[in-house]
Amino acid sequence: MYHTMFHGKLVGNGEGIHMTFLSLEFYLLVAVMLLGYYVIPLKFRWFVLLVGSMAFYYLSTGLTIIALLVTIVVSYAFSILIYAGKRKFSDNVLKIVLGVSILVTLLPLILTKQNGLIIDTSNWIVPLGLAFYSLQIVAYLVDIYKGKIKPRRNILKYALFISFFPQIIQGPIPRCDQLSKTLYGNKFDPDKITKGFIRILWGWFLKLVIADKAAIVVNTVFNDTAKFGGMFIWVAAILYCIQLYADFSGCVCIAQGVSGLFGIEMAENFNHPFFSRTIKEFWTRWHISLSSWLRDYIYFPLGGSRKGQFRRAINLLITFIVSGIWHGNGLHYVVWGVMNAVYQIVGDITGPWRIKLCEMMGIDKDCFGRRFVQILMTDFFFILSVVIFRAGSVPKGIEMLKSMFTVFNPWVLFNGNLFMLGMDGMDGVVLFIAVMIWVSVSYMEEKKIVVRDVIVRQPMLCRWTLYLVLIVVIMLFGTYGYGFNAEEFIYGGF
Amino acid sequence: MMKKNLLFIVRSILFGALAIGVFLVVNVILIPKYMYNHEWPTTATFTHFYELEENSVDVLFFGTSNGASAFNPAVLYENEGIKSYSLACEQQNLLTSYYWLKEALRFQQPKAVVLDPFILFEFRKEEPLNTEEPTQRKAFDFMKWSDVKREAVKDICSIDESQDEMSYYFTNIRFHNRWKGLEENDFNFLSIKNHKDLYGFSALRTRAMDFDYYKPLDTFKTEEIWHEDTGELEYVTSEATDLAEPDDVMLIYFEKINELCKANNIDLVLTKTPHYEWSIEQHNYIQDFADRNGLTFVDFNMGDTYEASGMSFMDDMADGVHVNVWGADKVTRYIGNVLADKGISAKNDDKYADLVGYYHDVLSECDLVKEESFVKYLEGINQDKYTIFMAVKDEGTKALNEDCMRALRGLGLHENLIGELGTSYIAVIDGEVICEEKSLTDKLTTGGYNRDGSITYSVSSAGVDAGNASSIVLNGIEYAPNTRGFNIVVYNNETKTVVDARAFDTYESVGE
Repeated sequence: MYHTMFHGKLVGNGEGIHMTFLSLEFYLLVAVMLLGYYVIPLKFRWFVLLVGSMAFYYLSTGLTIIALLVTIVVSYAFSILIYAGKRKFSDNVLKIVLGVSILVTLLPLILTKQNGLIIDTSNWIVPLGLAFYSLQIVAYLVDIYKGKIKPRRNILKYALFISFFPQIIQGPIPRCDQLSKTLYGNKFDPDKITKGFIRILWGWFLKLVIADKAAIVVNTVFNDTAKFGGMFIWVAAILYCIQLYADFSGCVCIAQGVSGLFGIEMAENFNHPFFSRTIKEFWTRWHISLSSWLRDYIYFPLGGSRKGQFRRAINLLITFIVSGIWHGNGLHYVVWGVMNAVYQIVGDITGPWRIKLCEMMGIDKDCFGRRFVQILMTDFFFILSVVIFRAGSVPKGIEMLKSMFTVFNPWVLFNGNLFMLGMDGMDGVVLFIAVMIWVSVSYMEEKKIVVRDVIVRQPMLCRWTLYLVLIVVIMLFGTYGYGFNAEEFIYGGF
Repeated sequence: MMKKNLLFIVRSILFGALAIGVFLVVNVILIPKYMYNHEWPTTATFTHFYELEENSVDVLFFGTSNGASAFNPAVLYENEGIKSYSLACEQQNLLTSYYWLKEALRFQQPKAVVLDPFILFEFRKEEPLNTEEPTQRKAFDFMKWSDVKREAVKDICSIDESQDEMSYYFTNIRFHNRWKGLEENDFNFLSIKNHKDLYGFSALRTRAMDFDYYKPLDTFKTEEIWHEDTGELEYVTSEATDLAEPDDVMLIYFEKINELCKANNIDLVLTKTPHYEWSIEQHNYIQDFADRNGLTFVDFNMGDTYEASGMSFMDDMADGVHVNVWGADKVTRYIGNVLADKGISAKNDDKYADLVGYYHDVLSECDLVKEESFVKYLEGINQDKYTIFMAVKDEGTKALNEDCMRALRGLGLHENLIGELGTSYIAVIDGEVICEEKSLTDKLTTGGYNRDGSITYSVSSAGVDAGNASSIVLNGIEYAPNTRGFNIVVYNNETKTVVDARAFDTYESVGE
């Protein structure tokens, strides 16, 4: 799910041009769109985005665009019907209409997730971005039902909202009221364009220098757990968190950056989750658009926390099971979801006791030490859950977790054995420095210092130097293309 | 507002241009370069080709490393006055030969092309282009961009799907990981690319002493036939007429080369340099092709040509498949006669005269490797361009005589070592400057930099009673053979290479 846009494994019919956030073809398309966007009058600029988004979808996936178009037309019809029905239908009828519209919208997604339980869909071609735009449409329909928004009368503008190309693949899952503010035509704004460019560079840095480098070790260990136990799994699990976060947030950063070039503001999808003090807080900072969707359209309709602690626990479990299913096909995703729900349930139950314990020990609940320990523990529990997530199966995940706590081999951190995992010392240093830079930037932003804003205020020479240094860093240290083996180039005697 | 926006656009364009410039510079640094200071200076072969005066070359050579070590434009000019250039390189497959010929024809109008077609037959079965991908890159990364290169890249990537067209345009995709191993050549490239070179020739200076069993090809084969009825073994000799099977892809480009030469009125001369694994079947195939197409084929593996060229496998080969610099002289002279017979005339050219001068410098360095006499060796290395490191191990002075001392004094050294048995001795001579000279019964060590700081060195010597060891380390690499006697390492400050590293057992004799 998280790797679709970067690794070019586009779902769809697999034909078409190599269109990923790292491909030349993608940026050529963006360049052409930018030229068209700012040349034509403001009133019609949204149309350029629509044409570009459709072109992107078609070039990437070929004829599966038909599935997207059908979805857009059907959901458009439902949105008009629901809005009209608010005046004309009774509550129950309207609810049925809403229910049917949600079912129709989610049916393709459900069928691709049910893993052959109802019908064998293993040979189906899954439309690009299905998991994201399905939720987006459901949110749209429910918000119309609730009276939060009015439907888009112009079907083409609605089509743009659904198919907007930077966000369709990996989100964030936009809400109509938020995205519409800037989606339908913006003036040329150098400041926004510059910040968009900075975001794109930063996204590339996160993806190529951090995520893909960490993935080298992660893949080695997770693909061969019989060989690697104990501390190796700890290292791989921590690196997987880094990989996951860098990859996903990097992708979103690029999507936001590309949108920014057109003056369009997309919602933030991450808010430095690894600084969270509780798992509950973590899920308000990680993949915010999905978490808030689950909260608004699953958790709250189920009753949220309004019906007592037991019911809240059930609601949490259901919400996170849905989250698990959404993330992928496989029981391990469900178990991952359940773990995160259980963390929060246990956290709720033990919360008052922990505060009392702090009071008894004279520890200020907001002192640095306590905050630091809370952050460590939150990250610790999240790491355990992602082991299951990444393991690919529940038995393998459990084996790995067991190994983490039963195999004692901390010396592998010091005796060079870590370099058996596919990453040499120099790459390790690069990764460490890159992560430190990332942590520093995140820390500044946690303190409400928006680094992009700081950068754009600097003199031109400083800004340009920074951009060029970042470009060179990505060029040299990014994990892409081929490895270079000097031995192969040394003529061995033919 | 409009002005602000316009200014922003102008700045963006400027930044874009700057970013592209930085991108190109970084890519130039990243691409591996093999220049005069490498045994196979492939990069120099292709970059220098573009510096030739247009339409100044009469003969072009192509082929694998077999050809790169055998075809010597300096010898060809010196003996026949024919101006040539060798575009042969390691594992040059026939697609590479074809496209480099096509590229060459944009700038030159040769009268003849000499091609060693070894790679027409199976070499790397597992590779779609019969050769390894890195050698493909070495050949193409320094070809200028043109329709020829675009066509070549397209062809390469369609035949070898593991290669990525984009990586030829954006070479950082292929080489970005080289940041871990960047070398001096990467940063000095612009200053060293104009260094003298041998017009594509690789001068190999070793001798293949293990191939005393080599025999030229036999056009007859002998089969053993066992007759069960009579219980007799019969030997039947017949002419070997079988033809080898060529590689399908290589054959396509072999024929294309032939067609291209015909279309441009170029005489295509096929030649096979001495090779211990070349077979009569391969010879027959090439001969058959040559006969059908009216081409000349010179095979140095056939007895008459082998004898006529004066080749001696043990003396003139660097290994079983490459001629050394002395063998290249013979091969090139022979080819030169063939080309002269075809009417390719002699011409005077100052640049080629310089080439010959440079070649003789290189040859004299190669001759050093063969030198057995300690005295003559010391006289041979007595040149300003060298930095010489000496370290004695064990007992290294017993056989020294006055001639040796005279030769050492010729280098500027003063210590009298005759009779100083078991002594440790170190010396560092940088051109005319004696950086260090010491002899002692104890272990000796010294270190420092050469004249331009391009190398750091450490030298140590321990005589028989002081530890019995020697070491000469240059830029972190140990070069001393560390055997009994005088261990000598010679560094050429012009080519920035270690020319020789050897030991003379001056306990036994001084090799007169």
